[in-house]
Formats: sequence, structure tokens, C-alpha cells
Amino acid sequence: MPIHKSAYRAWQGDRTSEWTRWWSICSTGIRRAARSLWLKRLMLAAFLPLLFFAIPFFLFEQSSRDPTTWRVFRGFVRGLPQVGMLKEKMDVLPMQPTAEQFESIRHDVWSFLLLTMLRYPQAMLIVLAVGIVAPPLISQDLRTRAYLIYFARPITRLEYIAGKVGVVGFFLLGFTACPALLLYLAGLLLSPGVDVVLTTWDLPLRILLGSACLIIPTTLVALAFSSLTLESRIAGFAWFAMWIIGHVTYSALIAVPAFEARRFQDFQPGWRLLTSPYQVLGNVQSYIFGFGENADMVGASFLILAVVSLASLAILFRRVNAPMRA
Amino acid sequence: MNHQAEIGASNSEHTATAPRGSVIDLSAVTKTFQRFQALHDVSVNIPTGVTGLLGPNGAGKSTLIKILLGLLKANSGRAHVLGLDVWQQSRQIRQLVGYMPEDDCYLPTLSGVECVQFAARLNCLPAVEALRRAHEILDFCGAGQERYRAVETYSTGMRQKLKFAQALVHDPPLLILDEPTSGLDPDEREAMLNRIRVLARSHQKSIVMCTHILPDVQQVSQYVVILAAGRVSVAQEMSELSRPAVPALNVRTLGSMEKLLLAFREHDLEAHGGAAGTVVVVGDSDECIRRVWRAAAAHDLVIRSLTPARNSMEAIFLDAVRNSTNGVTHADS
Repeated sequence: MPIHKSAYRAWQGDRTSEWTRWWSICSTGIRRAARSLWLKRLMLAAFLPLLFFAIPFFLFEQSSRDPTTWRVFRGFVRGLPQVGMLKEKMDVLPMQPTAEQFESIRHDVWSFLLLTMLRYPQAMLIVLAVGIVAPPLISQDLRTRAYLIYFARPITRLEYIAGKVGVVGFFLLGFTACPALLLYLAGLLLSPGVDVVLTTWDLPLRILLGSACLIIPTTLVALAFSSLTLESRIAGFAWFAMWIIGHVTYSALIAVPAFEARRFQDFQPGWRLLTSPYQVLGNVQSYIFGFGENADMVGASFLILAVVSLASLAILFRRVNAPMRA
Repeated sequence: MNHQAEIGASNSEHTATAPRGSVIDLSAVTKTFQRFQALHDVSVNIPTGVTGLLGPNGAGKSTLIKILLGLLKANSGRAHVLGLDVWQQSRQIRQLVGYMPEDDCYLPTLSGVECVQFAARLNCLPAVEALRRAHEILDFCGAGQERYRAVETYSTGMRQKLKFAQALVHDPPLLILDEPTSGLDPDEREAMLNRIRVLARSHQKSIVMCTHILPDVQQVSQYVVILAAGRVSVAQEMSELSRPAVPALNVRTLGSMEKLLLAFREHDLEAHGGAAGTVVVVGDSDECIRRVWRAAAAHDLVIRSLTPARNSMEAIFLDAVRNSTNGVTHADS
């Protein structure tokens, strides 16, 4: 009997659950995307801010034992953007706060540091990472007609989209939730006792919720762009253009001189941030971490994210099956 | 290798089979794209075994395949594949059907074996088993070490093998192959047709082969469906179709064709010159064959081959298309 028989053999075996199909698409997509050298570099860069933000965590926790580091911590934090959210609470403390006073502001300080990390370095990295991962995901399938590989099999549109969303979501978790959770863990390790968990237990949940609010709309928008073209570079261009145009518009609006303000009297200052996707996401995340910087705009920000996500989903559902109907 | 032996053994001409059960059952299926009617009242039963689905460009073959896979909804009619309703059980159908598309479709950056493994996983084979099965099927398809190369570097022939392997990896009872031999060199083409024969004969797969290469259909198909202008023009057993209106024998000689013709006429055989140096003798009875041998022996002529005459696939196809076009013209006028 031959050792290796290369004739056709029938296959009889146990199949996996139908619910694993989306995961097959997702895991293969992750494997393909992970071959990008630029993405590997970005993944590495995603954990560098963790090292930077571990410093204020260390300084804050050290302050309760060594009051001289409190001044260093204050100096460090003052250099961070949007420190105004925390300034009020820090200013009421004396130059040498007691352990109880430290306890009272720990939650706010940790929230602020986690939010700052998510809003600034991580958000920038996310824009770049999604710009690398998402554009080819659907457009390449359309260009190489790979959709026939999927839809000639028992794959539904929902499974296909879930698989593709999973690819982007996986990498975004690596850029948002993972470093933030590690930072939280570092904070716990640096804190004086395990009882700190009792006062900060909600922060991991806020991290996950904040990450979800970031991941869902950005992933769906990026995939919708990808589904609208056969050229992934056009989808990538549209993705970056959306962020740049939004940011430039927002910057221009906040730079309007005071004497011009009368022309925009019906245009409340808070509404300006709705012109920029970056500011909208930031506003929602601030709210989730308990900072009501633009609290009046939170409802509108959530609404915008929901509408954009649903519109993107509708585009995706319509576009992914379009070639099969032709 | 065993696989080659298996293929070699199946290389002989197929024989007509007894009436078989149907794998595809269409009844009055109509599909319209805006103003263009792609399928018009298509009713056909496709039996088990190998079926050639033929038709000129734009005849509605691809539309029919998409309807069978449940990817397109027909405007009216009824369709069943493997006894399952196309409109209501399309996912189950796609689980049981292996589809090899005509279009070049691949996932860039994946290697050949990863592509086949991925196809298997989409059909719910466990990951490790899918990889093992992918290698097994690529062996069957004659793919060597190139299976480890990225698919975008593949030649046309290799991509055909890859698509075939992807269609087959989950061991479906029904295969729909769209142009399986296009772009293949003669050796590869023969090997592909042999694989189709092996699957149909030794593994009881039903195969619908959609192609423009008519000799391929004649070589492997037991049943033929010809679509023309969205209508079924012919749906018949290949053995029936191939049989000429008047039974005849094709005779080839090593000597002069004229001498052979003369010899046959002297022995009261009705004969005339055919294509490519063949003499066509009317009749195929045993007595007729005996007389052919006698005539040749009497004139010291060597017979190179003596085969029953068959209608050529080209002639059948052209007749079917012509008739269908005329039908449409008549109907329109």
C-alpha cells in the first residue's frame, strides 16, 4: 500500500458550527493584514505611549509616600493637553496633601491620564492603522473577484461584514483597549495597596466602552469607503481626507475672530466640534471617562456616531453583494 | 502513482448510462434584467453524472448558475438543486455544491494551500483538518511545491487548478465548473478532464460543466444542455445527440481513399467520402461491418480504424443555436 495516496478521497468528518464562518474570514484577514511591515511597526509604536504615561502614574502614587514628588507630578501633568479638566480638582489640594486627599482624587487622575492617552497618541495611531488595514479589505475582494470565493459558499452578507469588521476591530483593540488596560494594571501595581481596585474598578469598563465607541464607527466608515471602490488607495485617501478636512474645518471655526462672532451668532460654539470626527469621538470619550468638557454636545455627538455607523452599515450591506447581482 | 493509474483507467470512452435521478430541476424559470430577458421560461432536468452546459456568449449560462446557487432571484419559476428549493434553501445548496467560477478570483498575499484551506474553513471544516484536506486536494489536482507560493504569482493553468481545488475541498456531491479547461495546455487539459471523469465515475459526483470547448463536452459529458438566447435549445443524453440520423460507419485506411470507396461500392455498400480522409459507410449492422472487412481484404487494403459515425459537437451546437435564433425571430415577427 502506498505511503502517500494522491488519488481523490471522500471526506467525512465533523464540521464546526456555522457560527464560526465569520471567524474564518476574520482570522484569515488578520493574518493577511499582519504581513504589512508598516502595521507591525505601528503595533510596536502603540505601546510606546504606555511607557510615557506610566511616569505620571508612578509620580502620583509615589506622592502619597513622598510629598516632594507631588510637585513634580503637577509639573508633569501641566504639560499634558486639556489639563483644564483636572486643574480644578488638583488646585484645591494643598502643597503637601494627605493620604485621604490623594485617595479623593485618584479616580479623577487615573481617568484623566487614561483618557489623555486614548485621545492623543492612540487616536493618531488609530487613524494611521485603520488607513493601512481597512482600505484593501473589501476593495481588494472586489478587484480580484474574491467575493466569488465567499458568496459561492454558504456565507451571508452579515457574516462577511462581521468578519471584516473583526479584522479592523482586532487591530484597534491592540491600539486602544490593550495599552490602556495595561496602563491601568501598571497603576494598580504602583499603588500602595490592592484596595485601590475598589475605587477604580469602573475604569477598565470605561476603557472598554470608550474603545467600543471609537472602534465601531471608525471601522464601519473605513469599510464603507473600501466597499465603494475597487482601488484601495482611493479608499485610503478618502479615509485620511475625512480626518484632515474635519480637523481643518474645526480649526478654522475656532479661529474665527471675536468680531466675526456676530455672523455666527446662531452657531453655538459647542456645535463647532461636530464638524470634526476627531473632536466628536473625543467628546464622547471624555463623557465616558467622566469629564463633561462639552457636556451639552454629548447627545449630539452620540447621535452623529450612531447615524454615521448605521449609514456605513447600510452602504456595506448594499455594496458587498452588488457584484453578485450584476 | 495510484492517482495517475486511477486517471489512466478512466481514460476510455464513457458509455451511456441508464436513466438517472435529477440533481437540478428547473421549471419555467424566467429572469429579466431591466429590459433584457436573460432566461426565458427555462425548464430542464439535469441528471446525475457529467452534464455539459453549453451556449453562445450571453445565452444565460452564468445567470442560470447564479440562480442555482441562490445568488440571484429569478422573476418566476421553480428551481431545485439536489432536491432543495433554490429560493428557500440556498445556503444549504451552497454547502453541498462546489462552484468553480470562470473569473480569476483569488485572495492576494495568501499561498495556494492557504487559499484552499480558507475555502474549506468557509465550509466549516476545522482549521487543522482544512489544511490537511487542502494538501490532499492539491495533490489530487497535481499541484507541486508551487502551492506554497503567493497566488498572485500563479500562471493561468495553476490558477485553474487552484479554483478546482477550492471547489472540491469540502467534498461536495455536486460540482458546477465554469470553463474548467480554459487557459490550460493540452496535457493539463487532458488531466483536468480525467479528474472530472474520475470524480464522476469513481466517486459518484454530479458535475455540471459549463464550457465553450465543445470537444471537452463530447469527451466527458453524458448529458448536454444547450442554452441559446435565454432558452433551452437542447437537453438530451450525449449518446442520443451523437447518434447520426442515419446509422453509419467511419472507415480510415492506410492506402488510397478512392480505392476503398471503389471496393465498398463493388461490395454493394453505400459509401461516400467524409472529412479528413474518412470514408463514410451507410449502415452499422453486423452484416455491414462484415462486408466492409471483406471488401478491404478483397482489394488488399489495410483498414486503420472502423468506428461508428457520431455527430460532431460543433454541428449539434451550431444547429441548436441556429434553430433557437430562428425561433426567436419567428416569435418576434
